[in-house]
Amino acid sequence: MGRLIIKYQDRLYNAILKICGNPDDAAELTQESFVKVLENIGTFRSQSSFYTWLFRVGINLTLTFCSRRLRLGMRSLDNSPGGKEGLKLADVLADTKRETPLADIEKREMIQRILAALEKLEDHQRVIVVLRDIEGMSYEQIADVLQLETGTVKSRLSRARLALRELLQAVWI
Amino acid sequence: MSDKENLEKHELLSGYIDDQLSPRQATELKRLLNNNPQIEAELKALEQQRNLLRALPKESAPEGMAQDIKTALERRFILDHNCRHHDSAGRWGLVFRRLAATAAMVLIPMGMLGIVVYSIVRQPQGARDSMPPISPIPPIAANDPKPVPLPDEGAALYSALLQFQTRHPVQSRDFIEKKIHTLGLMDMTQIRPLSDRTSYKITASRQYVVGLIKDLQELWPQAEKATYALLPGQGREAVLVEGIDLKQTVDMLNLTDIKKAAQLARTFTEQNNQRNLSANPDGSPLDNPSQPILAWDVPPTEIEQDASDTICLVIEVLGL
Repeated sequence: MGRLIIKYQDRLYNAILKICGNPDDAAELTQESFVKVLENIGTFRSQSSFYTWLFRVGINLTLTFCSRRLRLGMRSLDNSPGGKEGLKLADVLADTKRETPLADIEKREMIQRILAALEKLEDHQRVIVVLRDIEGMSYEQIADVLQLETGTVKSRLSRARLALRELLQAVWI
Repeated sequence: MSDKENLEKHELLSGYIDDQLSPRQATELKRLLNNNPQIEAELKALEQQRNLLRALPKESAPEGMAQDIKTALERRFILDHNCRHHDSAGRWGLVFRRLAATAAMVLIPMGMLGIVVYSIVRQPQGARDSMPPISPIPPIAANDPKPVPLPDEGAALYSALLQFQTRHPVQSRDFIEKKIHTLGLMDMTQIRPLSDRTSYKITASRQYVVGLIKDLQELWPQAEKATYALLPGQGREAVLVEGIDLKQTVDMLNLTDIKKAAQLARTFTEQNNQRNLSANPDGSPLDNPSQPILAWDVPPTEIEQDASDTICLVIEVLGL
């Protein structure tokens, strides 16, 4: 049990943090996810991997939490975008020579703006972007976590990326 | 380009950077990219966006999360265990408890109502039935020099002594006390254990005392001798009846006229002497009547006719 927690806790926490935006909430949701999964470990039938099962539970908890928070009108203040000064997204995105763009720009500002854009995505779009582009899951794994068809994952991910791009352009300009 | 075409194009680009296109889709996209620099720029922007996201710092879980998870699991296990323990009876247990609670809610008020009704119905049947439950008679110290006062001395106008001499004093005392308890005369009785005898002073209405005497009928066969004394009043000596039996005792107690009672006592004495003479071949009389020695300060028998019907009877058990 301890090894499972150690193996996945950082990945799950990181994904949840990117979705909910608050470190304390992310820690609590991660802990609750592990507790739920480990409490019901006897029902695990290996139809999916433990990894996707854990993330399914964690994402469900996080989405439930986000929807409740939205109803209560609470938003995280941690990822508020910085000032409008700084690099333009077009410059960053157009500079194909930058293999590690964050190494060349003011990291903190960039991160804040990306996270701010992520936060403005709809929940289901933010989740799929996080799972694919941050967590690095395959389409099949995402389909397993979100209980979707792979084709649906593909189309939803495309739309989410497009929406994120528009948001990034909006916060960058 | 329509929105739909734009979405389809973007889906192709998105699938392309994730290497999710079929060979045919990949070929078609490459052809588009070669012919349309705008699409190529969009692809590059999409790849860059993905790289930005991938380059976001990986946050680590807070220190001690593993331990927190284990602690939470243990806490839940304990809570869950306790809950299951409490609910071990399950659904049927809950149903049973509800039924029991309902039955209690119905039966307890009915029982209380029944007690009230019973006490109301039983009361007119006579005081004997509604007497208080048995409780120990408080003994009076043998060396207490102070006479025990009567509860209502003014009302105790007919005073008498009934004395049993027996070889079974313990059984006789137990029997008397049991009957006193049974008839609920504890509050009306005072007991004084002395060195040679035990004395019970009963101050109650005549019917109670007569009822007690009737219940003591089994005491006579156990006694070697029973003596009844109508205690002295103003200007009158005590009248003793030696060898009195149960019927004579009851008759004496029922007679409220003190003159007639004295006359009846003499009659009973003569009768009993005759009986004893016939029982003795030498014809000598039995013990001469003597003044009774009382363990109590008993009020004198003063009034000829006692309409109040409260009497004082002292029963004594002497061991032989």
